[in-house]
Amino acid sequence: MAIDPRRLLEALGGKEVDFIIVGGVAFVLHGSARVTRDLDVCYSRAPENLARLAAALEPLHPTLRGAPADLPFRLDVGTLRSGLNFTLTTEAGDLDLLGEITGVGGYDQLTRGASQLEIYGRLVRVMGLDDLERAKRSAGRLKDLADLAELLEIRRRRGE
Amino acid sequence: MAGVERVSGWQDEVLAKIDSGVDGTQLDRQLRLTPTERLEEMLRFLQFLEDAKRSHGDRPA
Repeated sequence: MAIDPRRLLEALGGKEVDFIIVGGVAFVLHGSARVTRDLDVCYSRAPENLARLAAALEPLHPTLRGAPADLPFRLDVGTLRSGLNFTLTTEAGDLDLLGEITGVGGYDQLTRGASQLEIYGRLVRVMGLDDLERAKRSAGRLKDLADLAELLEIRRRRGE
Repeated sequence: MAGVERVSGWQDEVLAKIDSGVDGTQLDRQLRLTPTERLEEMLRFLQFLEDAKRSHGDRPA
């Protein structure tokens, strides 16, 4: 199932969830030509934000991606509080909720270097290129090396 | 970018020795678009892949 980022962003923005787009979609928003099938967001772990996040996603009926269909799961504040990273399937596509990003940190750290980009008419925080570069260097996988090459080329073409 | 330390590491040594294969023409095209347009481009390509997969069915390539 393809992602519907507009619907996901409207759901999160509509409940004023504090989140930052990270991962592949962040990379695409900065100019990468890569393709990704899910939306990754880093979210604030503040208790009031967990409540907003749970309320925002409830209409999209999130389930744990890859888990047996009969496995009971409810994404509420208690679930969010007791976990950190969640890989979800929703009615608007796959959504990964990340409490922190390896090599960079959590929501508060990411906020400092985040870009504010207009997406579907809404201002959304997106992981900055510096933090994306840090994350790619830190992860150190083969695919991250390929992403890093593209990221460095984007920076070069933008005159950075 | 001002005020940000630029790090380098083993990745730079590797990238200096190989052809990364990054398509500059694609990047130039992407960088001319707005963020929303970049996202829409990706979604259109994903849809194309889904349609191609569906029309090909389970037949071997």
